[in-house]
Amino acid sequence: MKIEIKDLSQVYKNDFRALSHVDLEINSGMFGLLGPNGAGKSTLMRILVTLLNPTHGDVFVNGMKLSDNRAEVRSYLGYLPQDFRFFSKLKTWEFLDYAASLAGIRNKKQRLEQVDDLLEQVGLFDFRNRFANKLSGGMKRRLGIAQALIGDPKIVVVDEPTTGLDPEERIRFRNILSNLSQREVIIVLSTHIVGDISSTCSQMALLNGGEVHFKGSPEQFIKQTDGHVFKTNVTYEEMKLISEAYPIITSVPEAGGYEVEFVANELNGWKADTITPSLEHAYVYFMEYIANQKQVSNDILI
Amino acid sequence: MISLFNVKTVARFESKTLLRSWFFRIFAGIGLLFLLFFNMFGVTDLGDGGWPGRLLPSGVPYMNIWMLNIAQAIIAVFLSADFLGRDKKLDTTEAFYVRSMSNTDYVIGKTIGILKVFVGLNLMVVFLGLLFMLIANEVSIPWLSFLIYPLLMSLPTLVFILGLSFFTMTLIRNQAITFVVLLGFLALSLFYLQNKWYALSDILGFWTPFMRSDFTGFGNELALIYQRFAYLLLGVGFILATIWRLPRLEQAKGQKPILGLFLIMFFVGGASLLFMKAKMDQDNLTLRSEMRTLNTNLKESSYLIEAYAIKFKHEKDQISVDAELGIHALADNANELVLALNPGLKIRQANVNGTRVSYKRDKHLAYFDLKGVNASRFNLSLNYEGEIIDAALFPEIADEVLLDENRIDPLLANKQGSFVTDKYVLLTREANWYPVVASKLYWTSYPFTTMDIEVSTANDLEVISQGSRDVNENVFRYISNEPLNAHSIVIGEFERLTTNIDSIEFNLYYHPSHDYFKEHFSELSDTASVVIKSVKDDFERKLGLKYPFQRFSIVEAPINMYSYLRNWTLATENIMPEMVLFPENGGGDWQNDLSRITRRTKRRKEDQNEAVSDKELQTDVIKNFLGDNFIQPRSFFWGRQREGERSVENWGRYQIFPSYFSYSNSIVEENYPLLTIALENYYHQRLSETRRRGIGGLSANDEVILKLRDKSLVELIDEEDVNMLGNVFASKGSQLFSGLKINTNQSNFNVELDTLLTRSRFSNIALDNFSTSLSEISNLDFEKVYNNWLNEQYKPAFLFGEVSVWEVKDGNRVRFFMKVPVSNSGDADGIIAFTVREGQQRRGGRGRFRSRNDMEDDANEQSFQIKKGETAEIGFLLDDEPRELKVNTFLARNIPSTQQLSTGDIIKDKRKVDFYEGKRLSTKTIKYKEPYEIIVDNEDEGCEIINTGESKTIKDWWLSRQNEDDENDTYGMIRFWSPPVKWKPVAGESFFGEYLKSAYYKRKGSGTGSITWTADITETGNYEVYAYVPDFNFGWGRGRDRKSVDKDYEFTVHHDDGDEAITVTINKENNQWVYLGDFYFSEGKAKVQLSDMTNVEYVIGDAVKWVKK
Repeated sequence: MKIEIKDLSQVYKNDFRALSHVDLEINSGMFGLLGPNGAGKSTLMRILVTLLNPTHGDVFVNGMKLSDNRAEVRSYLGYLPQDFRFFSKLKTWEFLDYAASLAGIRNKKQRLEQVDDLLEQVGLFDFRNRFANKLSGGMKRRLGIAQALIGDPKIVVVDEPTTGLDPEERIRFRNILSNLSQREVIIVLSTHIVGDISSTCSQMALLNGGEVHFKGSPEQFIKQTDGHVFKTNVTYEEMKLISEAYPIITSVPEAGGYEVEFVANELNGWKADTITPSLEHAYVYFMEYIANQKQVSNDILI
Repeated sequence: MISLFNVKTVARFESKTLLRSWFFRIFAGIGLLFLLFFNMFGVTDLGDGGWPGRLLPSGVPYMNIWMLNIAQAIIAVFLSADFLGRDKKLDTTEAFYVRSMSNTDYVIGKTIGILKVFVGLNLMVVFLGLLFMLIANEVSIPWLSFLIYPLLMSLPTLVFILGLSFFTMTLIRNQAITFVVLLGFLALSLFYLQNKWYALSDILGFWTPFMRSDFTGFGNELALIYQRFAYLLLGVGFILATIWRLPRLEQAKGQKPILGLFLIMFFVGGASLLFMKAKMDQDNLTLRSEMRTLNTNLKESSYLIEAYAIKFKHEKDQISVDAELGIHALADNANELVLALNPGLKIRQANVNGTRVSYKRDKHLAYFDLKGVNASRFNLSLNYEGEIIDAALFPEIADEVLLDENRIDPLLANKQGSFVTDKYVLLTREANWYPVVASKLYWTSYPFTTMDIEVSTANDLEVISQGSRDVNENVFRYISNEPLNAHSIVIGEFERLTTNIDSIEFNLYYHPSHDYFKEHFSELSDTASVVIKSVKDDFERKLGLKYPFQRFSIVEAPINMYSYLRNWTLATENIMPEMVLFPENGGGDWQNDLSRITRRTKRRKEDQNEAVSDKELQTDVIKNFLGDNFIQPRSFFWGRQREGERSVENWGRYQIFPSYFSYSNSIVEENYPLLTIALENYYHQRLSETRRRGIGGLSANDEVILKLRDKSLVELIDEEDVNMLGNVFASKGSQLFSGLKINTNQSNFNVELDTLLTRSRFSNIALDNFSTSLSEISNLDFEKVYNNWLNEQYKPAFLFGEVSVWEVKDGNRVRFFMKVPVSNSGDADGIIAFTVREGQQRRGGRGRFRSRNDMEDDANEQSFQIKKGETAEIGFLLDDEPRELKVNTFLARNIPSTQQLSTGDIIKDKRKVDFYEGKRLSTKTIKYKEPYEIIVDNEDEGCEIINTGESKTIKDWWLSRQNEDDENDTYGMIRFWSPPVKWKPVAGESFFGEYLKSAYYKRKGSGTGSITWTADITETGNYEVYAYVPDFNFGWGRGRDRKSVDKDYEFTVHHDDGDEAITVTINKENNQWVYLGDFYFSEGKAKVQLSDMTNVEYVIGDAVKWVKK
């Protein structure tokens, strides 16, 4: 399975440019799409799942042009929209049954088996007879992922699936996805929560302002930040100055001041230790120093 | 392109969601509950009322689906506008949008899902109807109708509404606005467009006749199919358009063109059907207007058909006829014969005495060139065949009357005048199935001719026509026993019951499945004839004429048969010589709901503690049945019913009266048959009962007075459409004959007139001969009287003095002498008729349901002529105390023309009173007012009204709009349930006035609206001031139980010492001339004002008088 995105642009009616010349290649496994709110992640995903026609450029799935082969591509798809909260009056299992039927499982017995299977997997079996809109937020998400996974999709697109979930739910969610990624499928996961990506994705891209700022593996991404993440102890007075100068990632209060972690291109006289960057550090660094100063970012990008 | 599996899946879940929606559950539940109750109480006799329409063929399925259709249209709007709204709101929908299905699958699936649920609803309703019909077990179950109505009414409506709402939602994309737009559209079609514009906008089928006859089905199948299928196709078109506009990327490229093609196909298909329907209707209207034009150009013909010999063949929906016409040429130089024949019948051949004659056909007319025919009597043989064009019947009926719906409360029946189907034929004279001479105004009066007809039709069909019947191997032959002016033919599957009463053959022909009446008359096998005879004898005694035919048949006619009442005759096409064409199962009329009548009669008897046997009960029921339908029809009717009006509501279509007059007598008049109308009306009045009217409003006669205010009858005919003058003819007619009999012994006049009519039966009497005979029996120069009657515009005007009654001794008997002073101050001699009722009123049964066909009448009417300028005192010598004295002033200036005079207390003075009977001239004058009085009535110049002007509330606005409907009739009646926002004139005997008793009234107001009466005071001094306020008490209570309510009226008297506000309380004790006070006025204008502020719902302003002290 392979998705190629070529020179994709999307301009909305109000002239808002949501995507600008996006080129990406997505292979089997889990693909994380990182970016702040409004970066164009959802637009990209909606184009991927055939809900939206791009203004320019094309998407190819296994070499098939998406816009010409919607019927086939749709049969590969499972999609969890960002805002998965409102349901028509269907029970949990009926909702899945509906999705399964539309996913093309015609045999009723098979379908019900798969429905039960998935309910079990996402831990909703006990709630199978509850109306879907009576489920809790986390359960709704799980139901969402279940419906996205039903019918063995080759491409699963999940849009910000972990927003608003408690940590336990989030972990459970990640696990479901990583189990799935063992198979020969593409999972596209968009998020603005860095942790979602670091733990599961083998490929990622950073989207900002409709443009791709980075593509590659999370490791590569982190590597860009080597030597730009620092840790130091500051007094209350210094804290004010440093927070004006640099983006602070963490600040832990201690006697007489704070212990802070921050990212910076140059230290400009501050005394600090260099520490090993994490994905989160890399994200902040990119957003602060690369995304906002395009020239610099172009130099840095490979 | 379409995956059935996907469609089914979407449909399955859509229905599931729909069924779970509370909105649907609640509304469908309410609807079903309502229909359950309707079926329970309307169809079975669980409820006392019952719905008489249940007896109609297919009445139950029609009514159920008809009601359901309104409810489900509204539900469908809500639900389907919700359809895309829900899709937009729910992100979960997107999870399904990415599935591999086409947009077509999705939208069609959704539609089918919704439809499935509604189909279920329809099934439940059908089941309800069936169930309760089975329980009621009264009439046979119309199985097919239970299938046809949902398919024909419900389905197209649903598909259209669904499609339209879907599509509107894709356009407007706002649920609330979509609701408003769609519901507005529905309301527009339901309440405003109705059946206007060829009924093209009647989405719900609410205004389209769907009544289905057991004989002939819908009758307008083609129109129904055009209209209903148009909605179906348009609905599908809209659904396709929704697919087109669905906010989801299409599954595969290249689908849109195909979709577009289908879309255009469906829209074009739907639009063409609507166009075809409109064209069909328009063609009919055009044909009728062309026929009218041809008719107005007709000239007096010099030919007369004396005899018909006809061979009539019926096959499927066609007839073919060989007709032999015995023709009499009345003039030597005649050379063109114009015949009228239904335009659908094509003449194949025409011969005179064996030689071909040429002819020209134009619509219904055929012009025969008879130049070469010199004989004064000859035979014209015609061969013609074809279909009967129903639209060609009643061509003179105005389009708006034609397009008016035929509502059989509350359902709609078609308006057909003729029927030719493979199983049923009904052709009356109006269908022009046999040729008649098209003379000027030929349709108003037909000459008498004999008929010898041979009919062949399909096996096992019965043929009914006039005359003696002879059946020979499936050929029916009828030879008329006397010349008739109408011939009709009915063919169909009939059962026949027959009996001979008084040497008249009585037949009942009914549809084999319409035998529900039998159980109600099961005990009457030997008494029915006695009952019928007594009803008949009573009727004839009252009418003064004998039944002219040898047969009387009640023949069931399709429920969709409709006949118009025309102003020149009281006969409708429902009554033909020797037969009444009676609607199937009684036509859904209240009076023909036999089980209900039986139940009521029984209960009444039980209430009166009368033991009653089934036989007696059934005797009562059959008397009611005969009386209500044929003798003195009075239909139960929600609306204003006007005394003396020539309308079907008042007279009934099936009354037997025309057999005694219209179908047995004819006076040949050159123009409008005015004398015939006058005579008919005179006879018909012998049968009528007059009723009291209290709350004002004008009777038909009063309106005639207004119309004839400054015009003679001839002038009026010149100015106005004669079709609107039925009431004028009626009033003028009764005036003519009341005048004729004044000069002679009144009962002799009647007897001689009866003899004259009986003698001249079945012959075409020339006007001259008839007027000579009338002159003889009335001792008047009838021709002169008649000409005056036509051309004079003068009017008498009557004033009545105080009526006095004395107890007197006449020999040994105590009797009562009543004296009524009356004067005629008009400019012509006039006639008044008094009706006196004596003794205590007997308590009859309740309302219209009491048996009133015994025709006993304790009233006696006496007419007197009062010459112009004359004052007379009319004396009555009575055996009993007078209870009621009514006077009819006919066409005088008095409005209302019938009023009740108060008789006052009986004077038991021992002094001798000079009592007498009849008219004595008097020298005392009767005055409207005394010289020392000044009266300002609402009709006078001194009376001025001030309206509050603008409507303040929506209710005001709505009321004023409603009142606008009545704007054209000058004097209304008091509408206590919704009084007008502005002062409106009302007339009635309770009001004050010199000749025109009228007043103003309006809804209670804030005091800004008022009436001012201004008098010209010529003499300074003290005056007593009175205001006239009649006391009305309205409410839903019955007659004497009504309480008198105190009504406060705010008057202001403007007098020399200032203004004085006076509140007077009007009630049972204090009304009419109410004393306002004693005031000083100097010479000049004096004013009294009445405010519209009151404690009750409306104010009446009538008159004020100043009495000099």
